[in-house]
Amino acid sequence: MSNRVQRVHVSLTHSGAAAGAVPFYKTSAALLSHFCSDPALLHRIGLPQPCKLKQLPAAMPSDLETAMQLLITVFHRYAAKDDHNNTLSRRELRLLMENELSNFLKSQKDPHTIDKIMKDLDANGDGQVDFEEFVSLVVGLSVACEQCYQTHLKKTARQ
Amino acid sequence: MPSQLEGAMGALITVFYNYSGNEGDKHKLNKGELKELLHSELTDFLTSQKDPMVVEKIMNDLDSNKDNEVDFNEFVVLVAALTVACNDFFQEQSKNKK
Repeated sequence: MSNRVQRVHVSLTHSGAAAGAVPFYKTSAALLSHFCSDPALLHRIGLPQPCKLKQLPAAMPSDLETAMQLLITVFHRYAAKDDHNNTLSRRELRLLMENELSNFLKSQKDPHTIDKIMKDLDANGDGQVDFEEFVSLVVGLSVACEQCYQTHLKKTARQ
Repeated sequence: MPSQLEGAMGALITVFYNYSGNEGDKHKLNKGELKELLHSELTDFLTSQKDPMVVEKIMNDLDSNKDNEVDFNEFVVLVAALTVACNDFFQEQSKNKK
């Protein structure tokens, strides 16, 4: 899954470059400006306030943009707790999972779930989970949820 | 009460099904449904792309089993890649401020 994410990532961030267009992530300032409105987070990662990004008109973010913004916000809220601001240590990952994924954890019979997940996520084995590694957890959980949802929909459609 | 993160993951599923249920296979996005989703949910991203074929290219990138439909597994890859790109941009910005 992670290789596919990387491949799509590369093609997205390079598309338009040949035509001299601004790479899309530079114009996702609308999305980022919503994210940057959290003053506590800005302060923790050393950004001055208000965020100095070029502001697009403050249109309402879509549901999808809000969800994507939340993934970034939640990650950084926990990653900023120690000196490595852009990665989650084991402790930070444990805190994140206990607070943000408590329903998921409750459904796991194995008490070592967090350690197993940490080992799985830390692809380069440096004891830190970066954002891309964290996103693969979110992707995996979302896919699992959707499978359940699809099964449920198909069952209720038959009744 | 779901947490923010659980809410965000639920939203990915809800958004997908808001569009996938319109035509044909209700659990997959055909090209028209994908285009509608991109236009409505990721307007900024689309308008920043000068290439008029960008939706076709995205469809091609995402449709890994080549059935001309994008299922949730394939769709979530797009969301993941965009979110990683946004986070990269944000981290660059915060580095430059230091």
